[in-house]
Amino acid sequence: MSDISVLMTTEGTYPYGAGGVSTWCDALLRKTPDVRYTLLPIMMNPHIESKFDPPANVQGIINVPLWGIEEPAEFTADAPFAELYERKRRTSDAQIEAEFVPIFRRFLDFVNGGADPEGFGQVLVEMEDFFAVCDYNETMKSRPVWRAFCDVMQAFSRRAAEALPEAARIHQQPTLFDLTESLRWLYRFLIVLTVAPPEADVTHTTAAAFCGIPCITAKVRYGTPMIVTEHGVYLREQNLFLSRFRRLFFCKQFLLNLITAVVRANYFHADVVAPVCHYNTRWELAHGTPPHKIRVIYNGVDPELFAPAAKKDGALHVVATARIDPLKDIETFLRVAARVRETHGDVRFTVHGSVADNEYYERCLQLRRELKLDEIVTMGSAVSDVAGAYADADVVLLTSISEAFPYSVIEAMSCERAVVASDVGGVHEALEDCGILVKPRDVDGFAAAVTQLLDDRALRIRLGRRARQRVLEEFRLDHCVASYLDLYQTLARQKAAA
Amino acid sequence: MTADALGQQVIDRIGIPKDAWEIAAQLEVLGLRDDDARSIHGARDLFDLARGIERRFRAGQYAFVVEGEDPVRYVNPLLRFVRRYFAGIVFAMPMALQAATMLIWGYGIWGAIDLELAQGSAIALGFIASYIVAGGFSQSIVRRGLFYLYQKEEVLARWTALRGWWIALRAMLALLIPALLANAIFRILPWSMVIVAAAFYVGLGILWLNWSLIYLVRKSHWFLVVTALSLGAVLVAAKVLHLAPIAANAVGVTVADVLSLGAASWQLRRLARGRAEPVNPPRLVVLVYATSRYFVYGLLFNAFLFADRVIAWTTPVGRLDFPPYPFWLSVRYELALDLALVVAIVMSGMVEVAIEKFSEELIPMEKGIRSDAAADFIDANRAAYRRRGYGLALSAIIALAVAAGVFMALQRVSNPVLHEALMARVTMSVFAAAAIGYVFFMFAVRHLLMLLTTSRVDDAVRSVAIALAVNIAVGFICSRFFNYAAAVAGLVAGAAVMTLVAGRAVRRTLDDLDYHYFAAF
Repeated sequence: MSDISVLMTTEGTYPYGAGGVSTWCDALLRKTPDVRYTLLPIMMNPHIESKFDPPANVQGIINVPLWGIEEPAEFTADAPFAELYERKRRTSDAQIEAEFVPIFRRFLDFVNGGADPEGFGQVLVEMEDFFAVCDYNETMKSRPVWRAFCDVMQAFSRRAAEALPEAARIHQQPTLFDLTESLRWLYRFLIVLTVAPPEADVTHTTAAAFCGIPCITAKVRYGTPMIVTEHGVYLREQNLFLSRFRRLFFCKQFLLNLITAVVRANYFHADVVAPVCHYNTRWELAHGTPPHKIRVIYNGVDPELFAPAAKKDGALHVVATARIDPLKDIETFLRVAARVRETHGDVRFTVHGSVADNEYYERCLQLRRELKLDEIVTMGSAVSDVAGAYADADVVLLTSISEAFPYSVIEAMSCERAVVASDVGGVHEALEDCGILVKPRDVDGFAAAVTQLLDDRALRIRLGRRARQRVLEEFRLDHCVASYLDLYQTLARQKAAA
Repeated sequence: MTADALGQQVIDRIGIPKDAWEIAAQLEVLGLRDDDARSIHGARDLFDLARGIERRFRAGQYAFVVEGEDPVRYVNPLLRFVRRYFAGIVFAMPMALQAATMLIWGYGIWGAIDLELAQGSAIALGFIASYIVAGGFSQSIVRRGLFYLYQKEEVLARWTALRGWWIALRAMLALLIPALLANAIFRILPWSMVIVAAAFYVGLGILWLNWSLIYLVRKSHWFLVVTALSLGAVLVAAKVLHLAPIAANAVGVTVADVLSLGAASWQLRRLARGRAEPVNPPRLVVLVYATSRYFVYGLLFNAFLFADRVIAWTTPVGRLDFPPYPFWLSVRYELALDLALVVAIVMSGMVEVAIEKFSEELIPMEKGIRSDAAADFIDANRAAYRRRGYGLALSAIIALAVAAGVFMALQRVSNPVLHEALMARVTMSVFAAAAIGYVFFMFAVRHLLMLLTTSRVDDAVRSVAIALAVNIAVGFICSRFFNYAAAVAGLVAGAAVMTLVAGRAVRRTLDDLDYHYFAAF
């Protein structure tokens, strides 16, 4: 075992969630057995089963649940009960007012201002220090904190309203409900400040998100080198997600300001920002990441695991491996199926993937009924043998409206399958000329590409072989792991030298 | 598509944009790329295009819509009132059913007209002890169980509820040991009474814990079903099998225990879909700590309810039945209190209506008031609280009239024993005092529920603790100096103090309601 220790932080992924990021984490941990890891997963609630068994080199797991608890002490504190009790006892309104509120006001100013990620990192450390001595629950639910929050946010809103058109100004003024909800959310998101992870040689956050906060504070506190891996672009994804808050403009604004401040602090304090494709760098650069910090490390697959295999069944089959989620645009997949069926009545379509959004799934089922596709399109369940799913495909179709560098594309490529994918994110970097790219939501374009491939077996074979070759040259799991190991070693050496 | 049309399309999707980044994210999912921004719209890239759209939005060039709240389904106010009122009194229905069977057939589940007074006293002792001891556990079980059920964590709800139930049972059994030892050393009661008291203490303690499980799974109507079936079992045991009253009662309590536990466990298992063990349950010590304030609240609250009885039944002052032991039931005192309870039953429906209305109106009110006008929000809630107080006062007048009517109607019943008891001066005095005491008490309950709704548990505990102290002090002094029945003065004084102290805490909460509502999560 080497003497490199790494604090790896995750958010909603490894080891409790399935999906690309978790698969990547698991592979990295297993393929670097000489590195000692401490895992810090931020999870929605503490009562979910682990999807992965972390390998032996993971020496500790510090779970940080955000919801499903009455207070963080239930799960996050290793401290004995007597100490927790003492912490509660000593946390008074007077102390909060005198010591915490000034820090909290600065924190809110950084959130509302959006600039100075360096100062934001410093204030996170001060808050962390306070919660090491005083109780989080007592503090964040205290009257001084509520009053300070109302005061700062009302002043901010008055200023911000001036920049809005007249008709929109009323929505900038927070209602009591807006402030209540916003501070309750903040309570959840800052729970991560109550954990005290051990000092490591390197910290590695798997998203430029709240899970990066322990890495930021370690950087400010000890100068611990920090790596940020961005699979998707967290800020962009949160902008998309929170756009749904159409009734609560103030809450949307507050959360996006908070997230932006956290993301920028991640970029600022990171020694290396490692997106999984060049496409992601656009957002990173636009949010202040110096270009010299960026090092693209493509995801990789195991070509032995995702090896070419002959298709058993003769019927033509179009496959997608995607969870049922609006971002995967399964509705377009269904419309493409309907269009293809007009000329190819015997083609089957399958979406392999779990349901991530039940409401959306219902909508998809409804559309499937309306398009009379019940007999030819199967969807709604994940598949354990992903390689087997590709082996059963003639064409792999990805209709996502948002992607970074999807595993589904490089896995299909590794299996020598012909791929039709939407030209979003880093998909074109993966596919280049080894498949067909189509503009997202372009049903006609997708249908034409799928039909072309279904009609032309030779083309399918040619594209599949080229794709496999590209994976072997560019997107091997070994390459990806070696890049991270190299980063760990380099940064650990730098820290030791410093 | 022109940049203006594109901008309008984005604004239609998101309403008021937070900034250009939000617009840029939307442009990307619309399928636009930097190439498109350059070639079609003449912008440097998508971000530049987004900034242009944001500028035009801020200049007021785009129409936008902010969605309103979902329409609330109309429910006839009278129907809603009736539904809530009966939801409030449903817990009293088993008691009313027992009172009816007692009057008609002479049997309840844990009582019978033909019981010997020694046995009746023993059952009363077991009943009171079990009710007080189980009170804290019941509050903790329900509080934590509901917390998990609201979060759709049914497995955890089941796990914590059953674990709480088991801990409670062991604690209740453990408390028997010092009680039995004390009796062995000081010879307080004869063992024949102690054994009956201990048996009913355990049997009824289990029943109260089971009640809390049934409340947790939100099947309140099962209280009535279990009570009816258990009463049926008592009647079969007494009238068909000719068992002695005490044995028939034991059968009834056992049936109630088995039925309620079976039904609650079945429903908990259904909710948890058969899974017994939750993933990563919370640290037990923190769990116990987190529910401890509710435990104390339940313990003190139930102690308050029975303190005056214990005080009255442990003194011979003014008693004509010459109690042979330090604890001796007074049927007249008990009868008076039971009948006065009609006041609490009638008012409990109004309390439920008031609390539900407060909870229902709070969030819409918060959504409708700007944060810099918090004073309006506070004033509106103060006024609503006062208004509902008047409603409760009106219900108190009705409740007193109903209770008096029931009392007078029962005085005309031909049963000579009942008639004699109800015509006794002590019964009438205790009834009158207790009826007024229960009026105060129900006002206090409304305040307490309000405090619990806003998570002001400490204030609720303080109010009940002070009231209990007053109840005990006043009751003890009056019963020892004047007459055993004057213990009811403790109930009246305690309830009045509870109303005052809890009412003051509610006023403080209402004065700062915006903060207290925030912190109540």
